Amino acid sequence: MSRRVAGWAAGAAAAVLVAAGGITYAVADSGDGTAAVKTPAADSADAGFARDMAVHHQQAVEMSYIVRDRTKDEDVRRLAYDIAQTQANQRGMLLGWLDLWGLPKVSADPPMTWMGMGGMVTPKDGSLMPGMATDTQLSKLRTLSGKQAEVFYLQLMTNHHKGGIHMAEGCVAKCTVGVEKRLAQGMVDAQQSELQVMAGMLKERGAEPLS
Amino acid sequence: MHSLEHGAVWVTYTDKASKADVEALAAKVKQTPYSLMSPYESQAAPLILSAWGHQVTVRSAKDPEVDKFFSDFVQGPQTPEPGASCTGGVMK
Repeated sequence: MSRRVAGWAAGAAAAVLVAAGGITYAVADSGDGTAAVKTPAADSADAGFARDMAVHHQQAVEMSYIVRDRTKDEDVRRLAYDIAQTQANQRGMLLGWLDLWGLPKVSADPPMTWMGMGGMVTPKDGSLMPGMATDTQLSKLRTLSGKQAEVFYLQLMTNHHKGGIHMAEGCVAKCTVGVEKRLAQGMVDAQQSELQVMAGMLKERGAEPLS
Repeated sequence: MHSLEHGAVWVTYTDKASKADVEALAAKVKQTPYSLMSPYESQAAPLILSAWGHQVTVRSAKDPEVDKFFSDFVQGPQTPEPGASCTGGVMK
């Protein structure tokens, strides 16, 4: 190999090593969630939001399946389908992150302790967090049909979204894992938009949100 | 049994368990998705917690083993079918 080519080869190899080192350094240092992440603690906002929102989302999924069986109205059934799909997928993501972090799915502390609201809301009749429906309300939804079911679903989901948005805002403020913060912000944005859609659908049915 | 496959923790008790313990555990189960509770008179000890492939006898609702078992096994790595639903609760 001629000196010039050898020099070039050595320089290229060195450049690759430097680049690799540079990439490694950036990966170790970057806190934006696209690279190596320090595992959150069980009492962190990241873990708390993942636990609590997974539970919160599960109820939205259940409510949405219920109403799809209680009415033929295409608009409500489509909305319920979207909510069920989205929130079930998001719940899977949250639970998967807890698995990767090796953290439990439950906590001895009350929900939302991670955002300074532990114990502020007393769980009651299956409603464990703000905005969640009670078991009594879910049972009632199962007995309604047609427009009554649609209205009650929209009312329950409106409250559900309001509670969810508030919790997601807590993660936006306090979570440190970038991909989770972005998911929380996405929840805020999408659910605020859905609130408007649902307000319109309630009005079309001559109804209003629950007080 | 099916709930255990979905990652639930099942609390069982006999009439030898104290009312206070039963009530405290029932309250915990009511607030913990993927947990259930029911009487099981023929079991060997008053209070037993079960998960898929795991079981522990606890002395009372305040036994530290209770929180530990919940933490280790509610939707834990022992779950044969993660992601499946559970609408359990307290059965009388």
